[in-house]
Amino acid sequence: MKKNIPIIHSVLDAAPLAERVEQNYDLPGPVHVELLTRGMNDVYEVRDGNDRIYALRVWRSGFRTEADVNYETAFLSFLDSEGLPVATAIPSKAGPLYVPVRAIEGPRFFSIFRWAEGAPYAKTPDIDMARKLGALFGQMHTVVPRFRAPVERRIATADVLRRELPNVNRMVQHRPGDADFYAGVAEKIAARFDSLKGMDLPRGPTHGDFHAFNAFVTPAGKITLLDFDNCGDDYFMAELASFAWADEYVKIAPAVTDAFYAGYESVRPLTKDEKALKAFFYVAKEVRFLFGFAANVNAVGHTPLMFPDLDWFATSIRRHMKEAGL
Amino acid sequence: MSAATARNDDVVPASHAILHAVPLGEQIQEYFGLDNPFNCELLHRGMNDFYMVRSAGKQYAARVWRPMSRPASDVDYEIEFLLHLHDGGIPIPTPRRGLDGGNFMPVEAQDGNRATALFRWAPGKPFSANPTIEVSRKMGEIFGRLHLRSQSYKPKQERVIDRTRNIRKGAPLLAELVKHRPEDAELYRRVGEELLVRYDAVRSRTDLPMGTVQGDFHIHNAFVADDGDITIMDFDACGRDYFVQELMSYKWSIEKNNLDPRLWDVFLEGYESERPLTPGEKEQIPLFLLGKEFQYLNGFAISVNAIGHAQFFFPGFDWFAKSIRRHVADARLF
Repeated sequence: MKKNIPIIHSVLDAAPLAERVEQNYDLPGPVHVELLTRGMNDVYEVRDGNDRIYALRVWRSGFRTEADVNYETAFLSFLDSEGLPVATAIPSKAGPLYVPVRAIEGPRFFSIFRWAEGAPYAKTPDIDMARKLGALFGQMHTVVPRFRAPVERRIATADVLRRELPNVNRMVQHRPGDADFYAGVAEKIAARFDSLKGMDLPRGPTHGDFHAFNAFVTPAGKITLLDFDNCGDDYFMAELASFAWADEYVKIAPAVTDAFYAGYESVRPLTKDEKALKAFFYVAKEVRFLFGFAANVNAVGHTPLMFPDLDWFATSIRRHMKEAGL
Repeated sequence: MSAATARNDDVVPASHAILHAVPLGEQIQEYFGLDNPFNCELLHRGMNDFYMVRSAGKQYAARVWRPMSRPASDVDYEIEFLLHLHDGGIPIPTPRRGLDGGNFMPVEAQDGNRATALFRWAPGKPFSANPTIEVSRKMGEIFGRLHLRSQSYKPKQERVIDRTRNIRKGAPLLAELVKHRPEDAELYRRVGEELLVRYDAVRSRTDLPMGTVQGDFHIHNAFVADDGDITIMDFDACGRDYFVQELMSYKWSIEKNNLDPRLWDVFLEGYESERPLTPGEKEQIPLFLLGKEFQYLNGFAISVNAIGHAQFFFPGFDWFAKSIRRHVADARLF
C-alpha cells in the first residue's frame, strides 16, 4: 500500500448534516436531508416535519471565504427586500444566514435557502422570458448601488487570470503551443482590464455567473434567480456577457441573447463605452470560464461544467479574441 | 464554548470523497509504468470516480472505486472478465495491468482503502448524445456476442448478481425516502415482497440461460466514435445473471429517457441475430423489466446521498409511481 492520498473534496453525509440543521435552525422536526447534486458546491433538499421544502448548499472547503458567504447571503436578502425574485437564505438560530461545519478536507459553510419552484429556463428558452430576465437584471443593476455590503467582495478578473494561468498550463501541457497562446491571451485581457479606468463602465454588485440554468421558471411564469455563488462587485457588462456567452456555449439561439439585451436596455440603457466593449467582455467571460475550469477541475471533474474539449476552446477563443480586436 | 459551537466543530462524516488528482497521478504513473509527459485530471464523479490520464501522447481512463464499495475479488472478477472479452474481440475499454501484474492498484485514503484500475481510453461520445437506430442494432449484435463469449469465462471466484439482496437492503431506505408519499410506500413494499417471491420461483427454471453480464447497460454506457466504432463501458456492476435480465436494463433506459421505442426493437433484432432468445426468456420480459426498474429505485435509495439526484438522472417520484404501476400491471404481479 502506498502513502495516504489526500482528499480534495468530500460530500457530507446527509444524516449527520440533518442533525446539524436541526441543531442550528428553528425548523419543525424531524428534518430529512437528501443529496440533490454535486457541482461546484453540493446542494441538498431539506424537508422539515411539516413537509416544507428548502434547498441547502454546502460550499466547498477553501473555495469561498466566510466573508464571501456573508456577502452573498446578505446580497440575496437585499435583493429580496428590493422586490427581486431570488431564493434568500433563512436565518440560523444564532442569527447569521450561514453555519460553519467541518469536513474531512477542512472548514466549510452551509446555508438553507427558500425552495425555488419550476424548472431551469434553459429547458425551454423562449424569447419572451429572455426579455423578462433581461429586464430583471436591468432592475437589479439599477437598485444595487443601495446595497450596503457587510464586507467587500470585488471581482478582479485581471488578477484572477494571472493567478490561474499555472492551472491552465498544467491542463494543456500535452498540446504544443497552447500554453504560450493562453499566457498571451491572459496578458492581453488583463492589460485591457487595467486600461479601463476612466471609461463610462458602470459597476456594482452583480450575480456573477448568470446563465440560462440559473433562473427557474414555473409553468405560470414565476421566475426565481438562483446561484449567486460568484456574486461580487464587477462591471455590469461582465454580467451581461456571462449570459450571452453561456447561450452560445450551450447552443441556445442568438435571438434569446438579443431579447435578453433588449429587455435589459428597456430598464437600463447601455453607455457608449459599454456597447463599444461588448466583444471584449464576451471573450473575457469565455477565458475566465476556461481558467476557472482549470482551477477547479480536480475537485468537480469535467461533467458539472459541461466541458466540451480543449480543441473547442482553442478555436472559440481565437475567434472571439479577433472579434474583440485583441 | 457553547454546546452548539462544540457540535459544529465535530467533523461531519463524508458519504463520498474525491482523491486529489496530483498525488493520485503520481502513484498511477509509478504503478502502471507510464512515461512523461504525464497528467492526471478528474473527469467525472459517478458511482465511482474517473480520472483522465495522459502519458507520452496516449490517453487512459483511471477508475477509483469508492471505499468498501467492492471487495478486491469483485474488482479482479471485472478486470479478468474484460480481458476475456477483449481476447474475444468484444469492444470494451481494455484494462492495463500494473508493473507487478496486478489487476488494480490499492490506494489508501483518509476515508478508507480503494482500488484504482486503468483502462484504454474510449474515443467518442455517449450513445445517448445521438441515439440512432443503426448504432442501437449494432449494440444489440455486440451484446449477443458478448453473452456468447461470456459462457467461456471461468472466474477464479464467482460473482453473482443477487437482485433479492438489493431489494432487501433497499426496502427500509426506500421507505424512508417516500414516507411523505404513503401510497407509494405501500406500493413499493408490496412490489418488493412479490418480486422476492417471483425471482425465487424462476431460479429453478432451466430455460433462462445465465452467464457473466455487463450488469448495468444503458444509453450512457456505450461510447460511439466519429468513425462509428462502439465501446461498451462500465462493467462495475458485472456478474452472473440471466442474459435476458441484462437486455431489460437497456430497454428500461430507453423508456426512462423517453426515446424512440424502435431503438429497443432493433437492439433485440441485432441481439437475436447472434443469440436468439428462448421462449422462456421472452415470457419473462415483463417481470424482468419491472425487476430492473425496481432495482434502480432501490439502488437510488441506497446510494442517493453519495451520488445525488442529478447524477442518477432521477426522473422524480411522480414518474416512478406511474411507471412502476404500469409495469406491475404488464407483469401481472398483483
